[in-house]
Amino acid sequence: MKKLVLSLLVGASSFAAYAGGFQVVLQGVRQTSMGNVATAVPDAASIFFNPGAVAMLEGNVVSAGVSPIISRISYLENEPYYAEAKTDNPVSLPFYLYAAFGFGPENENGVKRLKAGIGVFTPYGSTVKWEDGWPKQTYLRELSLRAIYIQPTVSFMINDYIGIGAGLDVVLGSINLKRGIADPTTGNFAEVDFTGTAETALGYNVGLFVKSPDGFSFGVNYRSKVMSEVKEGDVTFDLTGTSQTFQQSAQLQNTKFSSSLPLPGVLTVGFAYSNDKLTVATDLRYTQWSAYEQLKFEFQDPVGGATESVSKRKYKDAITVGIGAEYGVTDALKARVGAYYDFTPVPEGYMTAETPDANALGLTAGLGYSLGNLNINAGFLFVNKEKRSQLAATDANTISGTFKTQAYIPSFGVSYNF
Amino acid sequence: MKKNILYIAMAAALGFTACQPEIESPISKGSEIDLTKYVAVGNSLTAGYMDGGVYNEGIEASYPNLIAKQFKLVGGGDFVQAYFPEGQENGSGYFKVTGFDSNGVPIVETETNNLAVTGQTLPGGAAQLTAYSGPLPNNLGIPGIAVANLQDPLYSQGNPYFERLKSGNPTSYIDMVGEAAPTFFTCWMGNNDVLGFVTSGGTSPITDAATFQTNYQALIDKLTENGAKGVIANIPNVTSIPYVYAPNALVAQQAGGSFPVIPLDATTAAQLNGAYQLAGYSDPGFQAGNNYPVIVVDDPATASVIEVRQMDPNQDLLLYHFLNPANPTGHAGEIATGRGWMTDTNSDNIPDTPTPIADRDVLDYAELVEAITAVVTFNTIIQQVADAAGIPVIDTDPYLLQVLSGQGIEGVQVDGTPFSGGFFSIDQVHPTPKGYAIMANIFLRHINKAYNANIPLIDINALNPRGVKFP
Repeated sequence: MKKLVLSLLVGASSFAAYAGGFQVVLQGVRQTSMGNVATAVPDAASIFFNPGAVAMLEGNVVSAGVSPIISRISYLENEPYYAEAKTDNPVSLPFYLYAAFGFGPENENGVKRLKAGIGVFTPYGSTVKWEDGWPKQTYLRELSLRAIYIQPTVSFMINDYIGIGAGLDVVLGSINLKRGIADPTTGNFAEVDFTGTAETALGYNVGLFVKSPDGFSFGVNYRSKVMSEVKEGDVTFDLTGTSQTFQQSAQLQNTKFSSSLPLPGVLTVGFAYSNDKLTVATDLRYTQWSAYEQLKFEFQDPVGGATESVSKRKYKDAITVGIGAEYGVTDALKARVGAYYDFTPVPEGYMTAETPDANALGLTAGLGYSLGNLNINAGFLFVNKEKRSQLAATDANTISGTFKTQAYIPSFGVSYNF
Repeated sequence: MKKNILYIAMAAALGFTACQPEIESPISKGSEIDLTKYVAVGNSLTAGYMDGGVYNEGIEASYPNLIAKQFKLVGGGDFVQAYFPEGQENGSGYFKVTGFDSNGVPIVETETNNLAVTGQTLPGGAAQLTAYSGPLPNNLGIPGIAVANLQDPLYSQGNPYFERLKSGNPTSYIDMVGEAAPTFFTCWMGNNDVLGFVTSGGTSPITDAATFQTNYQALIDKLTENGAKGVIANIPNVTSIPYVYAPNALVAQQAGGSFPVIPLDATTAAQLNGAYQLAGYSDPGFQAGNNYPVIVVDDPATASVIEVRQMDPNQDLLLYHFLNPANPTGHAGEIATGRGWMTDTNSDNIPDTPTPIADRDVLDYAELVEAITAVVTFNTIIQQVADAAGIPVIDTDPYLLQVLSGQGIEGVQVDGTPFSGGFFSIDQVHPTPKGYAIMANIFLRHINKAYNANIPLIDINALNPRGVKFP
């Protein structure tokens, strides 16, 4: 078989948080169309969802996809102000690339028992930009948080029914955050910009896949926590329009910052049933968000007289449950549908302007069409977060008010089997 | 069906179907008030007078304009203000801080560019301002106007802020209010019936109570004649403005902590007492030991002897214009270097001329008591007239005391410190844009409470209106 090299989308991307916290589960168009359910369904995307299932792939595969996130957040300030605001988020573009190749001895069906592959994906990130002049600009104007995972992976078929796999996650990341600072002597706002590139960090991804001869399957996957650390980020002030009196009294000199952000560990278990026409599957995902205890910035030189800023986050571990189905309308055409419910990790009082998180319902649908070895997939995910109000916790450095988030996420992908 | 899903997906990718999620807002004006035509009645505080003048930035920052913007959120009508035309946006001119001296004390200068001054003089001597040509404003704040002036058509031709609205068309203030025909009003009038007395050190008269009663009643009758509702603000205590309370403390600060004293021996004291009397003053009573500067108690034009005494800095209050370096008659710092007893006029290092502090530069204790008594009298009248009309009254002084306490008000940290406190503008009487925003919220709170409304207040920290503008 000829190896086909696809022209793949690589580059800097950032993402509106749409799963709980700043998790972004958009690592397979087929899986996303099925309620983000994947752990017990072998696919090229198993490199992300369950390396243990990669061994079950019948041949070699390359796969790529992209999911533009169109997200909208509305804000209503608490009484007595009731100011309204909305985000002006740019469309963000999470993507994935997978390639897996068979090696070594074959089983009785001619499937090579050892698979080696690589995945590039973006499971965490956030892009939020509030409209100009929104009432809480001193907390946040915009944030772009990016994390890109590169995961070399091996997977081994122990027998026809059991596969195991593991991958090494090499994690790159960056942050850009902008805030306004009120100048009371002119009525204008200065802006502070935090920009940093994370040190390369490592994690791992392991999985087990088991299936029965009569179409039932089971998967379990664990992706480890990764600490994303910025060591020499830049703190830059834009003081246009502010007075010298303010600049001197507020002590706003450019400096360096360091900070770290946990990308939490995720344990997922899944079940599926499959026959000639139909696949039905369910996943239960447990994300160890309690790793996100606080957000701390340390400054090389004092900023506004302080050498650090600490905002408590106090996230709780949270679960997501999903269910999905795929139906073969014809041999070539597959229809997919699914739903999931995502419990928020964010306690009351700790919602922030960058992550105004709430329990969310995701509704998904999609189509797949097969042209011989080439599969084309398209899907759509609608995320509806519950309207959520809070009084800001005093240690959270955040805002009171009501938030409501919705996201519209079409996705497009191709895969090639050979 | 599936094609539809795909279509939705494609359209959504292009952003066509991505609607903004809605959060229902509970704001409402309620059913008791009609905000179709809000009219603001008052004096300089209502006009947005700031930094010693009226200019477009202050008009924009006026509390009625801020209130009207909140009204708009619940269906209120348009609000017209008498801005100065482009190129004349600095109106009457105003004080501005241009720098700081070596002690960090602000240097104040007067803005003289882009004024709306015509060069003509009005009856009574005031400089005429460019006539306003738009429709009758909703903001009827006229700087300087007192309740005493409300029924006098000729007053409109001598006050430059009134004259620019009614040039060549003598109109009483009350008739202009009738012309405005509000459906809702705010009324903050009466300050100048005593403030003129206070800032002139007791040389301008206080309005007599009977006139105040008659005119105030006529004003409220006119405002409510078509059933309009509104709120009334009363007169704060005259000592609640830094113009009155700040100078003694500033003089003490400049003198190193305590109010400057004049140490004299018995012989010099007797010589100085003699010199004062020779110059036509009463005996200032200098004695051996520490003496205080001399103030003129009363200065009637016809008196043969001008009555003077030493001031008591705990009771007799220097007025801000005495210190203000932007004021040609100001004398910042001089109090500690001889002014108040004798001045060395020919620079031979021998004090030779008695120079007591003028009557208009100090509010002496008797005058202070007289002013406070008048405020109480006027506020009683305001309360009675308002009660009879069924209009709620805002008692303003507690709010000013809260500002002065420095404990924060309306979610904003301000205090009564001149320049840096954030509430009072450079003229030390009128608020800054931040101060006016605080006033707007106080009015809105009372409107919400009195009329079962839920009109949103101003998030002042979010708006970030300025305090005193610093370079």
